[in-house]
Amino acid sequence: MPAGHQILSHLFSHDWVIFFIVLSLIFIGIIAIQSATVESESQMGESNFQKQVMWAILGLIIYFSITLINFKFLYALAYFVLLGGVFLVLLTYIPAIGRGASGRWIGFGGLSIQPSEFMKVFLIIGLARLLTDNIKNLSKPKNLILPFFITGVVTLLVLRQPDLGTAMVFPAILVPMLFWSAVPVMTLFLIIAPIISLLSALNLITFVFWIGSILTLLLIARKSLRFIVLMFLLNVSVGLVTPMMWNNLKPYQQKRILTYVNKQLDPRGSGYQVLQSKVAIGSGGMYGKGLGDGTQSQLKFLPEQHTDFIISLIGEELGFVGVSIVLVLFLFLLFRIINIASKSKNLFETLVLIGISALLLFQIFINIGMTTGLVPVTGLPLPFISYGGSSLLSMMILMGLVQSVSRNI
Amino acid sequence: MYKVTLLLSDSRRNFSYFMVIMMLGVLLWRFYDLQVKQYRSFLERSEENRVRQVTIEPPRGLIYDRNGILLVENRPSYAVSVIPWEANKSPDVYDLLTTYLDSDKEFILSKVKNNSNGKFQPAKIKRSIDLNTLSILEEHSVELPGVVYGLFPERYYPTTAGMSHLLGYIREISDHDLLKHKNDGYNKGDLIGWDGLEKSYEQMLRGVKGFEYIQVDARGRRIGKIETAETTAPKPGTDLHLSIDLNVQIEAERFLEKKKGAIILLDPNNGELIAFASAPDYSLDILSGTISHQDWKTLQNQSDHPMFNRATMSTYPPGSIFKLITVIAALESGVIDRNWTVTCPGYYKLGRRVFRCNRALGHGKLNLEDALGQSCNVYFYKLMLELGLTNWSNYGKILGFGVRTGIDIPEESKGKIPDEAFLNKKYGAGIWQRGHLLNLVLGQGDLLVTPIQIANLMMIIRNEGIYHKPHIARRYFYPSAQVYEDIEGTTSKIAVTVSDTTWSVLKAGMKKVIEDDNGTGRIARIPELDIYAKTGTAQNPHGDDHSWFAGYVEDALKPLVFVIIIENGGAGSSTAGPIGKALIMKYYQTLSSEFASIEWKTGF
Repeated sequence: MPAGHQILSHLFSHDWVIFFIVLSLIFIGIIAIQSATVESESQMGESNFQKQVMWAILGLIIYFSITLINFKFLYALAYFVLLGGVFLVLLTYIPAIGRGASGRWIGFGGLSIQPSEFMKVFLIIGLARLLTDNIKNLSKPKNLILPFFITGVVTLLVLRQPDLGTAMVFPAILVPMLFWSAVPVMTLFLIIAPIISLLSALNLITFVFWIGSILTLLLIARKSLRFIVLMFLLNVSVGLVTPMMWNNLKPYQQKRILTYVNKQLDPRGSGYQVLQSKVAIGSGGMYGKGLGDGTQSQLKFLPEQHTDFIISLIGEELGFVGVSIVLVLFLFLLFRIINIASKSKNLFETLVLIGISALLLFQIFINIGMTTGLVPVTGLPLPFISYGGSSLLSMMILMGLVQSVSRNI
Repeated sequence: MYKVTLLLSDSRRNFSYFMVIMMLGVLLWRFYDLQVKQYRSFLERSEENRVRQVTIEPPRGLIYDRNGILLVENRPSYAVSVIPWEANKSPDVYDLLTTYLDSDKEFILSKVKNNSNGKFQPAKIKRSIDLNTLSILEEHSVELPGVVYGLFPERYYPTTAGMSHLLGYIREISDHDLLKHKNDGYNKGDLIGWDGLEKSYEQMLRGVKGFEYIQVDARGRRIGKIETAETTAPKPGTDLHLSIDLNVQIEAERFLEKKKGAIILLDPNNGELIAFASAPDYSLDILSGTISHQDWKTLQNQSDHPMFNRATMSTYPPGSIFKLITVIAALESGVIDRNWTVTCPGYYKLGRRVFRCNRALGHGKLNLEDALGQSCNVYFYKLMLELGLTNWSNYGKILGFGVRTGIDIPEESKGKIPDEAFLNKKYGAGIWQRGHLLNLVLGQGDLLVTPIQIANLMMIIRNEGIYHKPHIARRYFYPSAQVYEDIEGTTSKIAVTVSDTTWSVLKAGMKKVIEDDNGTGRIARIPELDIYAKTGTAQNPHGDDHSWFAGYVEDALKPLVFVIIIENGGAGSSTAGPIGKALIMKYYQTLSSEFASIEWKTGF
């Protein structure tokens, strides 16, 4: 344990910019939760606000404790941490411990936690060590099998809970970490390509354009003809066969798969939730309707307005100015973390921080994207702002880790 | 291995910056598109296309008597509410409402303020709107933005019985209760049980609110229901089945007409109340709708206190009824035995003071049973001096005085059983001693009891130490599941064992009250029935003596505890006694088949 003067010097080396950005985001979140629930028909609302304040205080305590962690220590324990996380997620499969209708929660006495939220932290640490240990061999594609395998297992475990939103986070963390582990860009590109092929296959023109780009790129890179043909066939078949197979399924089978992987998909396909969210945001205009005056948010047509759809309330009541402030705060936070990551002399530390940045950016993009109708609704909280203890606590742990690194650079 | 470093190029960092800017940029562009470029169209949509959450009130649980006769039901009634946020857009809404509702603007504004759950939620301003008023509001709906009305179940009492103290009533929830029940889903303007059973069983009776989401236009008018949004159906409240027998209850209330007092009839086998009346009472009908604050205040401040439940809240001196306690205490503490006799000359001299007996000529030589039967004061003066205060007050507490019986009616007084500490404090040590004792043994002075405590005492005597917590609700009926559930009673035993001899002496004395030709309750004699009783005539500072008559009827099938108190009614034997007799007769006569075999010769 550090002695008194060490704690003092510790405070001076604290990155207060990050601290105040995080504090501002939490504050905006609490204000929005208060506004979302102050008019609530059930008196539960008030306690949501109080609970979030309590979580924020607990989060700050955990944050300051984590800043004391030595990364050497973290490195030594990384694999145990990862295994422990998997174990926690597995607990949600035990009926006696698993809680909640969707089985994402586990309970200890009066406390319920969502292990998948903390799994994010554990996977980042585990992968960072794995990549650090194998840094010299990562240029060979076969050495990428293990990190992908581990990420895949975690993703599937969470997907089966089922929690599509959180499950997608894990691959999204891995790819930037590989990029910073000096895995050749071409290799990463070829790994991601089939996913883009699948998405672009929704529209013929984009699909043709995309396949053309792949071919051009491979030709410029002077890959062997056999390799180019293989890649071409792979991407075309993913892009064409998958939608064909999908279309061959009976509607009820499609629906079953959809509802299996994504409980939040609107079964009627009318996009009611997103439409209402867009109306709320759009009608907020430049300056918003004022806190507590958002007719759309206050009248509670959005069931998740204090959790996943909180940005639509901020958009309606605080306007374009309000959401811009949120986005700018996120921008500065991400720049700051990436900057610290790039300055660190230690690969393990760098990779942990890059994992954290990737996680943040992905969650911000998916959450706001879904509330504004850019991406399908999957159910991911907006970091620091959405109501929810597990999400906020896991984010505060990650910010504690960032501080721990920033101290030593 | 930990010390791995990697030659980092700035390009990797810059690419990451680029990705961050790109992705956040897309989001910012999206917000710009929605909030700045498409602002007008979304604003229009938000105004035209509004969703409102509407509460659907559950029907409150019904209340039945022991034979399944409906005592309290609901009937639909309209209530008018105002949504402040919409009403504030048009300045004369409140003036118009004042005219249409024939109300007071101040009152309406205060209702909006007090019942507001937020400016987007309707605040109830008036209940029980008649159809005429409703059609006026409907006609003028264009001038009345934010004024909404809905159906609400209102309490309705189909029987002729009063039962106001027993049933209680419902009123708009107070801020205090709102805070107390803050996790129970109450909102301002909701109704909550304020008294009687409506209060004790509030959580069972109230049911669970339902919600639906409706679409309204810019004027706040309903366009349609939103099918995609979740609708929750209300859950009706749980019905209550009482132990009260409506016919007997009506009789009991009839006997109390134009009097002040209380009547309790109770089944000593289980503590169930058969009749429970307090007079004067008030009409529940006036409380079923919106009672104005003024009317309520008037009702509360009326000099004869009609809101006061005398059966559980009034504390009276018990008069000679409390001699029963003295008998138990004296026999059990071994001060005397059952053969102890006293010769009564009609008065008792203590120092220079003369204490009178209830019969001026004296009772002559009396044993314990006869002293009880004729309620001889001189006998009990002497007995009390033998017994002492501590024994007396200890047994009073053991037999349930000075504590609440726990009846399922929310308001109950504890009464007061003076002990040495109390008297020392009130009068000073050594000053009170003997004179006070002689007053206390007559059940007067600082001794105060509630009628329900006396009923409890009679149950204890009849059951020889065992008693059941007095209760009115017997079982629940869950309308959604269509099942009954019995409400478990509580059975207890008094804290000390009282010998069989004591009980039999006590009962023999109480028998003599009725059967002895000098018995103070001989007027209530019914040859066909086995009655044990005690009369009480309690002097009090509020005028004429209070008249008590309490006891029980022994019967293998239907035993009955009865307590009658008539405030300022004079002697127990002359006022409460005849009422008791008539009521007991009525009860056994109305009981079905089991008692058809009795040939009633006794007239009223």
